[in-house]
Amino acid sequence: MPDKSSDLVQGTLDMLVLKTLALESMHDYGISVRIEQMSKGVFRPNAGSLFLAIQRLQRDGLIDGEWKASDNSRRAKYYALTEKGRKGLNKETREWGRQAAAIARILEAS
Amino acid sequence: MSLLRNLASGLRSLFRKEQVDRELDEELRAYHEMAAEAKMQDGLTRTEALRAVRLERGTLEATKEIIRSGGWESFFDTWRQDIRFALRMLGKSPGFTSVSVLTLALGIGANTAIFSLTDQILLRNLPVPHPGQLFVLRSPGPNHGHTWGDVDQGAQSFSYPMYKDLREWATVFSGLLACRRVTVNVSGHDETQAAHADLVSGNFFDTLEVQPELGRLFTPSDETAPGTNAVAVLSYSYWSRQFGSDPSILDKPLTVNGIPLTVVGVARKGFYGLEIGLTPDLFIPVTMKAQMAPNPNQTLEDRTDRWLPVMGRLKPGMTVARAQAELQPIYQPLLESDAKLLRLSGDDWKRYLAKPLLLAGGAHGRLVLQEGAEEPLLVLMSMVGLVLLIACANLAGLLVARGEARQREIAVRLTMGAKRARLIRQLLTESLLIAVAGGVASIALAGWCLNAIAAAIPPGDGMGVLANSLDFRVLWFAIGLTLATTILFAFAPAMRATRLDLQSTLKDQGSDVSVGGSNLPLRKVLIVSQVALTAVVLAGAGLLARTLVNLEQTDLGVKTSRVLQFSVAPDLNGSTSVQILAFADRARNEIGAFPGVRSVSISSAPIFEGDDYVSNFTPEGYVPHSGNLPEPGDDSDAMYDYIGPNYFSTMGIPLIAGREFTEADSAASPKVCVINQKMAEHFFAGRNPLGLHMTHGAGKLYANPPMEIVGVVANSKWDGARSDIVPFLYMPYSQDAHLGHLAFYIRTEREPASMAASLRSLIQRLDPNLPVNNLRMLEEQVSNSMFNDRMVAVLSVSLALLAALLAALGLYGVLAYVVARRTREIGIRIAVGGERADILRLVVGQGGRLTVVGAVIGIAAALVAMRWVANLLYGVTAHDPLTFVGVVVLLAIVSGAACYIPTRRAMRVDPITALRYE
Repeated sequence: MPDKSSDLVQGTLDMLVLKTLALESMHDYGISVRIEQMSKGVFRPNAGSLFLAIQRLQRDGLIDGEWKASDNSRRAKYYALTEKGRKGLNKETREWGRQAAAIARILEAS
Repeated sequence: MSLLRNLASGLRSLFRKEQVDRELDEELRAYHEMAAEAKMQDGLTRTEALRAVRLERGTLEATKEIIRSGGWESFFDTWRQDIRFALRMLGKSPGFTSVSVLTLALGIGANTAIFSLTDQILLRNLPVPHPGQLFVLRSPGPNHGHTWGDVDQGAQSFSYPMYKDLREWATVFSGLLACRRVTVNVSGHDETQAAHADLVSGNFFDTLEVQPELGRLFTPSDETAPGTNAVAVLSYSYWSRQFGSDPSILDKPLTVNGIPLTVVGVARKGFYGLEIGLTPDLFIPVTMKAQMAPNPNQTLEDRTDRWLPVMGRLKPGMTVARAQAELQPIYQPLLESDAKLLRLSGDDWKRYLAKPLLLAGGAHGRLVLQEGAEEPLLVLMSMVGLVLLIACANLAGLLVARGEARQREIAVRLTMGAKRARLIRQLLTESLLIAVAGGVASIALAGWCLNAIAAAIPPGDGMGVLANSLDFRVLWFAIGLTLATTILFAFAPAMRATRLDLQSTLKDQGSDVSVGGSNLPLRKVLIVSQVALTAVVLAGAGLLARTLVNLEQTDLGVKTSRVLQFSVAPDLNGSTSVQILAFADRARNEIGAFPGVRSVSISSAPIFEGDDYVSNFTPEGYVPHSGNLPEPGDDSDAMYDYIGPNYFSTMGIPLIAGREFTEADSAASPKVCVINQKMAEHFFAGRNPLGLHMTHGAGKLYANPPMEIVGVVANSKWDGARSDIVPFLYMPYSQDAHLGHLAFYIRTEREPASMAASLRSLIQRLDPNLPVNNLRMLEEQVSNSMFNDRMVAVLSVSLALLAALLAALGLYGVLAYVVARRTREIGIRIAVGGERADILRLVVGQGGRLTVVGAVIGIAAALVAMRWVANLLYGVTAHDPLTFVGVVVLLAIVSGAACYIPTRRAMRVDPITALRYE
């Protein structure tokens, strides 16, 4: 259970975080839960990789963070996609689709 | 823009560390809290929930660490930690740190100082555009007529008409210039001083592409008819030194040799003419030659007077080979017309016409200073490189020992999870700090060395310009060397130190009785190589030191003690020969009347200043190719000088036969001469030369009256200790039709230094416009002429001492280490009844073995290496046995001194304490 989710390649996790935030802006724990949910438990990012990804995306200007009061009146940092992030996500999604299709074709070849 | 954000974010992490850390902490805690809450909803207790979260998501600290190292700034952050830690560790062992820094500073500093000299003398180009296009013209071969030469045996001297012809007809050059250095008298407000002037062609500055600092520089219109271009350009240094950079001197006259020259401009800063080491004060058109440097043998019109060096800038794209090929057909007819003027015939004609016109590299200017300095500098650079290697070996040994001493600390850190790469990085940081400190100290040291060298240079010598100049080339050299040595001496020990067998290290080390850890063979190799290198350096220094001693003890044939000298140049003030003769006689008589003067005399050329006058002489009854002159080639060259009465007794040159010149030998009396023994043997082997005649000149060109030989004197050296004995002929100056310069020599009873002031005032009284030059003791003059040799000897001996010191330190370190490791073993030996003498043999044996192996290798290497020093030696061979024996003895002493303290410590080992320590 501990390190299974770190099988995620670095760039892929970035993309998943972007997608998650595209649906709605949320705090870091929320992102982690959402990714777990949406992948039906296949991906469970550990704190280290997740925060690294968030730091990278912040530094590249793809997401923005802001401290806000959370639901149970605790302070948490909420992240949201920037315009650049939205464009980047579209690009990544298209690219990923291409690659996945290509891999599928190779694997199905007899 | 993301780059900017990235940068900003990273910088924030670096400089607002605490705040960023707090935020991160808060964010992570929130994350963990929320995760825990989710778990608690599933039914776990709080503690169980937190634990589960930690297991799943990683601990807080570990996560923080991962995040922190994710940004680019973490590299700097960890490095900052490394540096702080390294400083602390170095501070804890001040002995090690100071020895290391000092060793490195000495090694690198010495290298930087020598490199600075080498750079300035050998490597720097002329400060003009495209120096690679500049070439010096030379025509080696037999010299006929009047030839002046400072280097290359006169091959670089051309006549003024020849230069003009070449300039007009040689199309391979975009510019052909001529430049000749002379000394002139410049009259100021109330005093006249000697100054250095370059006589240059009109296109000098254009060809070199030099810009003026003020006013204008020469153009071809400044080179018209002889004696008509009364203008001058000042050099920047002369302008700032003499006139305080006052721009109002422009267009004002400057009185040079009594003639007013209009100052038309100042050359730009940093331009020093064509020869490094001597910046000219003035530039004067070459057409003013007769007024600036009158010499009947160096006229502007006579094609047989060769006194003018020539340099050219090749057109872009022209190669040396092509240029030389294209120059030959132009040069040949010029040579032929010269040969006709010289009335050469037969073999002489053929050999003269065979002289080629060659181009030598001129990017470094005319190699006047470099000729003598190249080899000594290369030798010094090699020696100083060896010293640096020794220093590095020392440092490597020190670091290895230190690494061993820290083994436990390193083992603990490795066990706690530190990555080996990180530890190595940290150890390297320590070494880097030592290197930086050593590098900074070395620059200061190099500066100090250069200042010391510059202070030792005799005034007026060419090297005067080589003050401490730490320009960027030298700085980069020092930095590069520092980095290279860091990698060299730090890397291997760092690797070794971290490659540990953790188990055995963490266990109790005290029970180690066996000899030598894994590092001892390495340190032994280092010591052996240090000793070997030291042997090579010692051998070189020994040979060079003996050379200096030999030179200083050489019998010059002249008694130089208690003789005062000075020179004057009355011809520069326009005095005629007759006037100069009268002046010379009068000065001589007045000086002779001074109290304490034993004798005084005059020579036209000053001795020991490298001022040579050579000519052909024809002995009486000489028939060419008839066999009454020694073969081959009927060599009739001899050096000559015009001297006054009592010259030989003043200079202490013994008279072998006949007489000296007296007052009776005047312009009207019969022509006489005195020759030295060598000339007597050469021209008159066996016969008594007294009464026979010699004629100045050979061939049909110069019809001089024959001179009767009235005396023979013992041989003496003219240029200095290294010069050979050559045939020499002396004539009375009263019979010199073109007397110009005068050198006075005064032999005194007691110390002559007090006489200097009275001499100056006497000359001042006789002629107020006559500067007194080179007033010093003759001994000092001789000493100055050996400056190069002395500098090389002193520097190499200093390097040798440094090398020996470093080797001794290294050897001491190893032996101390061995004794410390084997303390228990020694204690046991003594406890069971062993002799102290055995202990002595143990330690000394170790040290002795290492020294012997090192010495053997070193002597063998030295025997090979000394070949390259052979050209600098005098009076010793490259394999001089005495010197090598001395090297061995010195090494024995050095290793003995190094062994002393460890041996004593070993002998004093108290078995009880040694065995108690666990």
